[in-house]
Amino acid sequence: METGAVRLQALRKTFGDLVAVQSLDLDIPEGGFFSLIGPSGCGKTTTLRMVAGLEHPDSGTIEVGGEDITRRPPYRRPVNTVFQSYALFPHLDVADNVAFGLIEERRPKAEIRERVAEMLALVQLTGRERSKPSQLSGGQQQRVALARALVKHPKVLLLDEPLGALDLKLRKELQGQLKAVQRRVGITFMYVTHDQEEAFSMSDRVAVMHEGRLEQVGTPEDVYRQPATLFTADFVGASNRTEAAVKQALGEGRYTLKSGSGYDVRARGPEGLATGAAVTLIVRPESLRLGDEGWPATITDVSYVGPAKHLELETQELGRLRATVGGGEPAAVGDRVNVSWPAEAAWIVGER
Amino acid sequence: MRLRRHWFSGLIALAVIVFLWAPLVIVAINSVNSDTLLVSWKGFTTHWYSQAAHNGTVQSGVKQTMTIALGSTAISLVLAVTGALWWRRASPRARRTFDGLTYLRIMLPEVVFAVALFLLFSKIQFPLGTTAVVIGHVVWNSAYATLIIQARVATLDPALEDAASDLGANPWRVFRRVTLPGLLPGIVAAGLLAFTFSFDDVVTSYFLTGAGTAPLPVVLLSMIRFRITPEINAIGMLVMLFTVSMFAIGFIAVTQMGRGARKALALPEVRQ
Repeated sequence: METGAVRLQALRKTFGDLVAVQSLDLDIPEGGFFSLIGPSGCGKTTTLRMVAGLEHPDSGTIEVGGEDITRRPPYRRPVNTVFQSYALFPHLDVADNVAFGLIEERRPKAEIRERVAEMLALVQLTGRERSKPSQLSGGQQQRVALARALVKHPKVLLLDEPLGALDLKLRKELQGQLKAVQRRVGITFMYVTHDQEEAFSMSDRVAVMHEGRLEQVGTPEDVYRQPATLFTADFVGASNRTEAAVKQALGEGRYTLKSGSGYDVRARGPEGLATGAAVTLIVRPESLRLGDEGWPATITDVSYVGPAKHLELETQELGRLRATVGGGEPAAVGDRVNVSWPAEAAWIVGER
Repeated sequence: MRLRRHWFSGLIALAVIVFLWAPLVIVAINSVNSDTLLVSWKGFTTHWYSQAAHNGTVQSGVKQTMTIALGSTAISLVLAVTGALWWRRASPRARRTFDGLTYLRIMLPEVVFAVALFLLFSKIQFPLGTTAVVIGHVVWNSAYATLIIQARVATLDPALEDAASDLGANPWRVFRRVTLPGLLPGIVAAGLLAFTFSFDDVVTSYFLTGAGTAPLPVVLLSMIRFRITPEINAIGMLVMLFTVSMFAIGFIAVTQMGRGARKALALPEVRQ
């Protein structure tokens, strides 16, 4: 097995009475785009700062590239950070900001000049070498911060909500650029954000954190389609839920459930759920289909958002449901339809 | 609505200006007046300036003042910068105590500290003189410097120091390459203020000078005790000129800080 880029073991951090991170175990594979997502206060930024060395864990170990760096000061760690506020040095111009870390490495001047130029070309800031950070736009400052951290060729690049302060359009644009830069340089990115859509669009893998604990780690698709907990299911998107009990395990993660209102439903779920276990059945709104088959329902609300229509449906058997259909679908309040979903779209979370 | 100006308020304003500035104007005029008794204008002369320049007591007084001002300013700045940086990370309780002690050094009458130090130094047989005066000046000068530098420290973004550390700078390099340049405008301002306060101090200097060389303000004080000579006017003008130009230089330094900071600290340049 290859050594991961970052390995956290039983990492714990408290601030006074507040437990920011409790016993975190996490493996981040090398060379990918990894995101740590969760609501504010879930401990994701604290985790990132511990990897950077800017916070000291109470206990546990941090390995980067197979080396234990738990006790090393930040200036001796093979990682660099892009800060949320960018933290560009106001008294230095763009080129000197990017050169900062290389000067600390005592690199020869010619090499520094070359690498700075190369980095500024990568982030498309060639020609702005002599500008002061205050003369740059938010997006440009963000790119200087990225160049300044990447120029050191870290084993892992840590990014702490680097797009949080930008407007939506610019954020989308920079998401694409960040992803492209990661593919080009091949450095492991460890990205922290509270925006799951942002994380999904860029990441190879994501980890969901909640109250200092890891809820789930996997590809964005895994996390979205097969959430391990109700928290994850809610955090990464809207869902229809209904309480149920396992009636029969069919093998290979397939089950028959008895829903709260007494109907049998087939669904997939994690392996090893016991018969009779109290579970929650989850179906994403976009998996619901309106047609001639299925449960009879009445449309009670329609909101049109352009590419899609968000519907609210009332059913006798399943209660209130939310469905997302194409923007062109004929659906109006009061319509009577039948609602169904493909069996593989129904997912079981082993808790209520 | 415009406020109507009343002739009376105009008169008061004029009187204030005259009372404040007339003495300075008279000093300026008399510093080049040939009349030894300073009762009437007897023609232009630079005699008093050259007499002041050649007066041995004045010469050594200036030298002594400079030594004391530079020494107490340097020590005050070091104490203020280290104090303010500690204060930034201290607990709220420790901060309050620190602030209290700083304000106390400014609010308590100078003469109280001067007498206290005089008594202490006699008790422990610490010799009066240059060092004693420097210590005396540091007592209040460091407090003024601390207030100014604390204000600057409060504006420093801790993320900048995190970033420097993250980029490979050890604590000393972080201080030199990020913290110090950030504090520089405050340090220049505090330095100028401290230097000026020390430069024109009489009370502390008078108590702690002892039998040795007296600094300029103390020399001036003893000169007018015997006889007011026109030379004093010339010295006054020179001190005034010196102080004003100090502040002018300081002002230029602070406003040019962007470019100045790098050169002053000899930070490495990377040209494309």
